Amino acid sequence: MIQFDDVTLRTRGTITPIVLAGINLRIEDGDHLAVLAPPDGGMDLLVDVLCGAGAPESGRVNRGASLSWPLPGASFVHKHQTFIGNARFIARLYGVDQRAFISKVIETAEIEEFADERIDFCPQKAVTRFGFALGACLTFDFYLFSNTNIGGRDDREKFNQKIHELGKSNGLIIAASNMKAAQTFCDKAFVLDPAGSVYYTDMEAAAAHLERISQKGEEVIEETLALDEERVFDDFF
Amino acid sequence: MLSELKTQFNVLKALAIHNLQGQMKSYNYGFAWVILEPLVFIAGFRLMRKFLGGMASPSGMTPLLFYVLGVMPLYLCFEGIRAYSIAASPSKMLSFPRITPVDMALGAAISSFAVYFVLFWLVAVPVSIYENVWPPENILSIMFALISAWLLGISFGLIISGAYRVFPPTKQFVSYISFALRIGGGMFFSITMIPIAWWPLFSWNPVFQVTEIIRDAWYESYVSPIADPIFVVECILGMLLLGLSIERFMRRVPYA
Repeated sequence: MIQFDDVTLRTRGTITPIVLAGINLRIEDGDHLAVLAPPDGGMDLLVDVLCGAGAPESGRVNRGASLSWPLPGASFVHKHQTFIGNARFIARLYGVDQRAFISKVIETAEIEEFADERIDFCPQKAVTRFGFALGACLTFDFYLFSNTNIGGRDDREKFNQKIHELGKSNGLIIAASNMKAAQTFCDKAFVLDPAGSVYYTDMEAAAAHLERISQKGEEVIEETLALDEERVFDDFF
Repeated sequence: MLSELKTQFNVLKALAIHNLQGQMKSYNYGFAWVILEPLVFIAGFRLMRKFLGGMASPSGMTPLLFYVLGVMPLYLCFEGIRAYSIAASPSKMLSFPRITPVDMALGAAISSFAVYFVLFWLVAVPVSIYENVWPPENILSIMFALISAWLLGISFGLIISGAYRVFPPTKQFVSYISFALRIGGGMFFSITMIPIAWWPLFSWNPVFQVTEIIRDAWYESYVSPIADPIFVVECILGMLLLGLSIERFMRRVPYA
């Protein structure tokens, strides 16, 4: 179980911070939950706090379950090293048998032909498949996804199936800014909204909420741009 | 408890190796300078002494190894201090729920220790053979001094990491502290080279104590009048406890 008690998050280093206050969320073991927010709606903040990479402004986060890092993220890989070398890092980190883990990762990611190549010489779709496989070959109570488009266009179906398989016996948390991935994998949703975040068991209602706040966000951006243009125009004359 | 310790060990080992692999990714100026900087200092001090004269190393301490023993522990200390920015900066590695900021700092510090520890022996052994002061009198004390210098650096780094997390310009002050340590850390002098009246003042500095311990341990001819390993251990324990507490507390505060 993962629980957020009255958590407040705030973006920093910006003159227009996003404040998400009063987040109360309980994710039960085995839940398939979509965390939804418009682009630049504070999703990164929530994911950071969920993983423990960032601290909330206030409130308490209780992580009573094991959680993967945001998959298929692979920002930690050394690109001058091979897939095998990088998989060895994860094996060391999680204290699993290196040989068995590496061969399982290579098989899951279907990167046999690139296994001994430097990562910066390999196609991006192979890297995302590798990022996914690193997490999928370890056991967690919850698998966190920041993107479900894994591999190339031809791979989508196959890897969606693999995510479904992971979800059969474990929890899934999908952080997304569109409903497509959420509706494919999840039956519950939590919409991040500065006016008040809401937990939904009805995915249609969550979709409507997300669309509403996304449109509102676009309108605000348009208004701000118009104001800026006006200001520039005034300053010029 | 045992499984938690094993997990912690796995995390630190993985991060230290990952760091070393990152440093060596391209053998460019970045990594080369890590090795060259202390060697440049040692050569610089030696040449200054040769051409300007004076400041002769006392009590039969040979000139080149005298500076090696002064410079290398200080660099281990500086590398430990660098932990402050790692412990207090956001990093993609923290997305792994089992990695904490203090793990990141310790992982980086362990990899730096590995580099400078190896560099120390690679330099000290040939220099001491060249100057006919091989083998050292007490190798255990030398190991103690090297590890102590590194731990003192980490402890101090963790103490200032709290301030850096909420007020990044703290970085400027760290450079002043490094400068003060370079001057007062015994890099180019030993306690017997300064007036007795100043000894109590210098003996408060644990980094200076470390350089005294290491010189005392290498040379049979030199017995430091102030070297006190117990004082160094006390400083490490006190500062480490304070540093870890500060880091633990400040982890709840969002990054500035």
